[in-house]
Amino acid sequence: METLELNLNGAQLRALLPIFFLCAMVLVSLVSSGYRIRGSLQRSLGLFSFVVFVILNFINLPYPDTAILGTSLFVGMLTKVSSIVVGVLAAAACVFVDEEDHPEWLPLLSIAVIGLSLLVGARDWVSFFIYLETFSMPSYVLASLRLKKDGGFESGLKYLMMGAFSSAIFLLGITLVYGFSGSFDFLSILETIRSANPESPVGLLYAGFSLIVVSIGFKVALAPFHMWAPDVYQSAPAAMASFLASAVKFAVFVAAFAAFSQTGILQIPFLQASMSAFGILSILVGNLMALRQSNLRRMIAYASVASAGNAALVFAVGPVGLNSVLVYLAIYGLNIVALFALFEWAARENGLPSSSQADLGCLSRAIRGKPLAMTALGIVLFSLVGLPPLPGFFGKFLIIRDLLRADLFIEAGALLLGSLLSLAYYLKIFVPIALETGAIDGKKAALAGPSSTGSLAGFYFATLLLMVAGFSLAGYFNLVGDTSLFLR
Amino acid sequence: MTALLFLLIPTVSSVLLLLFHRNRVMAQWVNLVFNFLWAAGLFKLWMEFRVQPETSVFPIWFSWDWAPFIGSRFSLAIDGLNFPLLALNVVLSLSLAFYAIGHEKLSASYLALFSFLNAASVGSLMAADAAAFYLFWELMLIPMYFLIGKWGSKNRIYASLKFFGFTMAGSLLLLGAIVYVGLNSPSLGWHDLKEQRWVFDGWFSPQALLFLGFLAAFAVKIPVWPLHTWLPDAHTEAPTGASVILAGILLKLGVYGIARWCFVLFPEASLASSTFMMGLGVVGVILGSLSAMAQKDIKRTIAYSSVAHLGFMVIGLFALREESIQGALFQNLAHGLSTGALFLIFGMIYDRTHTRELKDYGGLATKNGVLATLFLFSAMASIGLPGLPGFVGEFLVLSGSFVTNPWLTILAMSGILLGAVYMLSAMKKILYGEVSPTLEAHPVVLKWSEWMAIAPMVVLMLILGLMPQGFLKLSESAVLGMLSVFK
Repeated sequence: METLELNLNGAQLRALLPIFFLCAMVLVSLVSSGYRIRGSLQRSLGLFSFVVFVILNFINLPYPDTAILGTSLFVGMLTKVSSIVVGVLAAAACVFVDEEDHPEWLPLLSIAVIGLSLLVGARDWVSFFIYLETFSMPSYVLASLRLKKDGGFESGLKYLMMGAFSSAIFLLGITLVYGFSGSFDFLSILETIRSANPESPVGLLYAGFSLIVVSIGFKVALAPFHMWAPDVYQSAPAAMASFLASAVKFAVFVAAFAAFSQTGILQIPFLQASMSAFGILSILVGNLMALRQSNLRRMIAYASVASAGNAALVFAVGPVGLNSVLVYLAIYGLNIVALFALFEWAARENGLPSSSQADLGCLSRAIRGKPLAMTALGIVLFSLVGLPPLPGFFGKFLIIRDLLRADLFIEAGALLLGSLLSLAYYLKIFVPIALETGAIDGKKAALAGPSSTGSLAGFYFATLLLMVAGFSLAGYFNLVGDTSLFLR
Repeated sequence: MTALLFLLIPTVSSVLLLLFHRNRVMAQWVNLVFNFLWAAGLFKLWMEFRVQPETSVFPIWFSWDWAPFIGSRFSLAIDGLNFPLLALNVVLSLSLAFYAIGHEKLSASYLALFSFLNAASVGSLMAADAAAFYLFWELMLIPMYFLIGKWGSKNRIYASLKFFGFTMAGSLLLLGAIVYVGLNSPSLGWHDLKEQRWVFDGWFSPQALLFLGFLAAFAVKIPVWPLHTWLPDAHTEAPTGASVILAGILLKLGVYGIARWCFVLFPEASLASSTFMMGLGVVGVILGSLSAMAQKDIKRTIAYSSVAHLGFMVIGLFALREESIQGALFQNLAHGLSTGALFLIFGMIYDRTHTRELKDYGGLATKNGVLATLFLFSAMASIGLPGLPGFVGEFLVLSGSFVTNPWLTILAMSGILLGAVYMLSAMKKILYGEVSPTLEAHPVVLKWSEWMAIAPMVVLMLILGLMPQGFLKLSESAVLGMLSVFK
C-alpha cells in the first residue's frame, strides 16, 4: 500500500472546511453541555452549526471536485449536495429537539452528520466502513437517550445489536471482496472484475458483495431486515427518530448507490435482482403492516420501510438512477421530519410526555380547529402519497421514469400499487381530522404536557423546507445535469 | 394569456373566498361576482377563439417552462373539442353560484373548494401537456373529496373514500403510462406525444398497455361499466352543487380525455378495442337503465341514468365515426345541462323536505306547477325528446355507430326505451297522485335566486335542442382532425 499524503493543499482544505467547522462545533457543544447550559441554548447552537454547515457547502458548490487522502475521499458535486441535504435535515430536527436532561445530543448529532457527509464521498471500502461507524456509534446513543422511558432500553439495545451485527457482516463482506481483488479501492475492484478470467475466485466476490448488500439493507431498514425500525422509530426521542428516518436513510442510500455503481455491484444481475426483490418485499410488507397500526410512529416506521423499498427498486436500474434516489429520499426526509415534529406536538397537547404512545385520536384532538396546521398536514400527507404538484410527486415520477426506461414493469407496478396502499393509511390519519368524523375518545388533557411550541415550529419549518425543496428542483437539475457528471 | 386568466380567476377566487370565512352571506355574493367575472373571461376567450384559424391543431394559448427536468411544459390550449365544455363549466358554476345565495349550509370554505374544483377541471380541459393534465386531473380529487365528505349526507364518508379510492387507482395507472410515453419523446407536450408511434401487435405490446393505462383513469371517471359502482354512492351522498358538477363536468372529462388523449396517442389500440368498448357501453346503457328503474331514491335514479347516458357516449366515441363522436360530444353538453338541472331541482326540494325517497314527492304538480314543469322539461331532455338536446346527441351517436356495428347499436337502442320507462315512471310518482304528507308539511316555494339558477339551464337546453348546428360546427374541425390519425 502506498503511503497516504496527509498534508492538505488549499483546495483540499476548502473542500473539507464544512467538516472542520462541524468538528469545531462538536468541541464547542461538548463544552457547553459540560457546563450544563441547557435547553434552548443547546438547540440554537445546533441550529447555528448546521445552518452554517449548509451555507459552507453551498459556497463550495461551484469549486472543482477534489480528491483527498490519496483517492479514498472524494469531495464532488454529489458529496456537497448530499451534505446540504443532511445538514438541512439535521437542522430541521434541531428545531424541535427536546432533551433538557441530555445535552450531549448535540455533539453526538454533529458527529453523525460528519459521518454521513463523508460516507457519500468514500471511494474505498475501508473508509466507507469508517464513516459508516462514525455515524452509527452516535446514532445508537441518540436512539436510546431516554433509556428508562417509553421502552427506550429495548429499542436502543435492539438497534445496537442489529447495527453491530450488520457492521460485522459488512466487514466480512469487504474482506471477501479483498480476497478477490486484493484491493479495497472501488475503481480497482471494478478493474479486477473487468479483467477477471475463468480461474478468478468470483465466488468470493459474489459472496462479499452479497454480504455488503445485506448489511446496507439492515442500515436502511429494508424488508426483511427491518425488524428494528418500528421499535426504534417509536421509542427514540422524536427529533432523533426523525433524524434516523430521514438523514441516515438518505445518506446511506445515496452513498450505497454511489459505491455500488462505482465498484460494479450494480452490474451484477443477480445483485440487481435481489435489490429489486428486497424493494418489492419492503413495499408490500411496509404498506400492509402500516395499514394495521394505530400508533402513529409505528405507522410511519412501516411506511418508511415501504419508501426504502421504493428507493431500493432504483438499484435495479443501474448507475443512472442516482438522481432519482437522491431527490426522492431528500424530499421524503423532509416529509418525515415534519410528521415526527407534528406527532410530538400533538402528544404534548394531549398531556403525554412524548409521542411514543401517540395514536390517531391524539392527533385529531390536537389539530382540530387549527386550519393552518391542518393545511400543512394536508400538504405533507398528500406529498407522501405523491399528488402533484407537491414535491413528493416529482420524486416518485423520477423513480417511475427510471424504472420504465429500464423496462422494469413489475417494479414500477409495485411502486404504483404501494402508492395506492399508502393512500389508505395516510387517509386514515387525514380523514378524521379534515372531515371531523369519529367520536373523539377521551378528552384533551386540561393541563398540557411540557412546552410544545418547539415541535409545532419544527413542523412548520419542515413543511416550509419541503415547499422550498419542491420549488428548487428545477434549479437542482440545472446544477447537476445528468447523473454521469455526478459520479465522476 | 387569456387562457391563463381564465384559469386564474377561479384559483384566485378560491383563495379570496377563504377571507370571508366569518361572513357566509358576503362570501356567497363575492362568489357570484367572481362567477360573473369568470363568465366575462369566457366571453373574452370566445372572442379570441372565434378568430382562431380552423386549420390549427389544438393551438397553444399559454406556455411556461415549469419542470424541464421531467420534460414538461405547462401549456394550455383551446380548440373545438374543449371550448364547449369550458362554456358548460362556466354556465353550471354560475347557476350554482345563484343557488348558493342565501343557503345557510354553503359556507365560505365550501365555495372556496368549489372554485378550486372549477380551476382544476378547466385546467385539465385546457392542458396540452401530459404532466400538466395529470396535475389538474389529481387536483380535482381533493376538493371533490372534501365536498362529498364534509357537506354530504349521512353515508358521506364511505362515499367519499370510495370515490377517492376508485379514482386514485385509475390515476396511478395513468401516471405510469404518462411517465412511459415521455421516455422517448422530446417532451410530454401533447403535440410531441402525438408524433410518437408505439408498436401495436397484440394486447401486451407497448401501445396497448399505454392505451389501457390512460383508459383506466378515464373509464373510472366516465364511469364505464363495471367500474361505475362509486358513482351512485358519490352522487347520492354529495351535496347538490357537487352532484351537479360531478355529473356535468367531471364525468365529461372522462369522455373528453378519451377523445383528446387515448384516440390521438394510441390510434391502433383504440381501433382494436372499438368493439369491446362499444360492448361495455351497451352493457352500461342497459344495466344502468334497469338499475335506475329499481331505485327508490331519486338521486340514485339520476345517478344510474347517468351511467346509462354515459354508456351512449362510450358507444359513440368508440364507433370512431365523425357523426357518432360529434354526437357523443354533443351529448356531453346535453347531459350536463339536463342532469345538472335535475340534480338542482331535487336539491332544492331536498333542502325543504330532507328526503330523497320518490314516494315522498307525490303530487308535486299540484303544489308547485312551475317547478313540476321544469322537472318535466329536464326529464324529457334527458330521455331524448325531439326538439331537446338529448335527442340530437343520441340520434347522432346511434346513426354513426350503426355503420360501425349494427348489432350492438340495436341493443343500445333498447336503452332509449328503458330510459323512457324509468323516467316516465319516476315522473308519474313525483308529479301526480295524492299530495304526499311530506310536501304538505314542507311547501316548496322557490326564491328568486333559485329561479335564477335553474332558468339559464332551461334556456340553454332549448337553444341546444332547437339549434344544434352551431355547436356541431364548433367541434367539427377538431373532430375531423382527431379522426385523421386513424387513416
